[in-house]
Amino acid sequence: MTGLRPSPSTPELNDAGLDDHRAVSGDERSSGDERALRTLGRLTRGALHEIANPLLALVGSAEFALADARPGTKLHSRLELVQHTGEEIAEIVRALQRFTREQDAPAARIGLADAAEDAVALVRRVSAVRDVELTVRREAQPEVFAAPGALASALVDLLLDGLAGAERDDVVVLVVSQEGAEAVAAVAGAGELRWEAES
Amino acid sequence: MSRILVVDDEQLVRDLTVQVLERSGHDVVSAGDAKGVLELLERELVDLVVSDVVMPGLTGVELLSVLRDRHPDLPVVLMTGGSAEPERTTKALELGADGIVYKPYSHSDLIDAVRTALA
Repeated sequence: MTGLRPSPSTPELNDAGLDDHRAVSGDERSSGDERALRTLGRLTRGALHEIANPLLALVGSAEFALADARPGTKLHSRLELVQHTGEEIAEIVRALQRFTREQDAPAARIGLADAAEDAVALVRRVSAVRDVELTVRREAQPEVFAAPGALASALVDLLLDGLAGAERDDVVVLVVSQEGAEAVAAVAGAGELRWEAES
Repeated sequence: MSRILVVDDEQLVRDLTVQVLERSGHDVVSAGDAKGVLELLERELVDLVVSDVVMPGLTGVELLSVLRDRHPDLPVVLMTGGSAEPERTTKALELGADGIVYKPYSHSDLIDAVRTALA
């Protein structure tokens, strides 16, 4: 007899009726969460698409109006504000669009450190965290064979976990290294991801 | 200077795209849908078509397919919101689109795509 306890979903416990109801509820909750996330993803894709035209019209029109306005006037400074703010929103939309396009791309050989830099750039752009620094440390330059979307999602999740545990003025470092045949991406306190490195 | 035909059903975006290209030195005509493009091409010559993807009637990708048959040497650049229509973008690339510009584009994104397609 070992000291390990079987999980609540093992047949012995289910036969005994122990925790069975809670296990099923957990599965349902997990399935519901997955469905909600999938729906959220689809809605986000649609929203990004719907935002594109009005945002383009807003930023582009402000840019032209700015060129026509006399510098130093109130109108000029207001148009500058509209154009600058619109461009910031456009950068967020472009970053999210690139991320969603990656979800559809086929598996390929990818430089892990470059993917880490892209993930940091995306999280910096959309995380709403201003007082924690995000950076990548390249201890090696491993390449992995992976679906770009899955790789980007995993790295973004790791960074968000790192951010969740960070405090004001912390620096969250995504370390890319290689250990033997494995490529590793790690954030202290948040965990690490491992892939087979391409040779 | 090149003559460019812009097609987009959203008038604000169409006008803006026309202005960006005119200010970069091109002669620009425009249409609100694919039907207008095909009619215009029966009576006018252009060097390049810049088309939205999502439009009523023929989509930009369907228009690209028609143009490949009728005007095989005419370059076509497509503009798309991108993230909601990956299969259309893939199809456009298979059909040999000469460029894809993702909206909201920066002026330089559009100008660079046009320059590349015209080269």
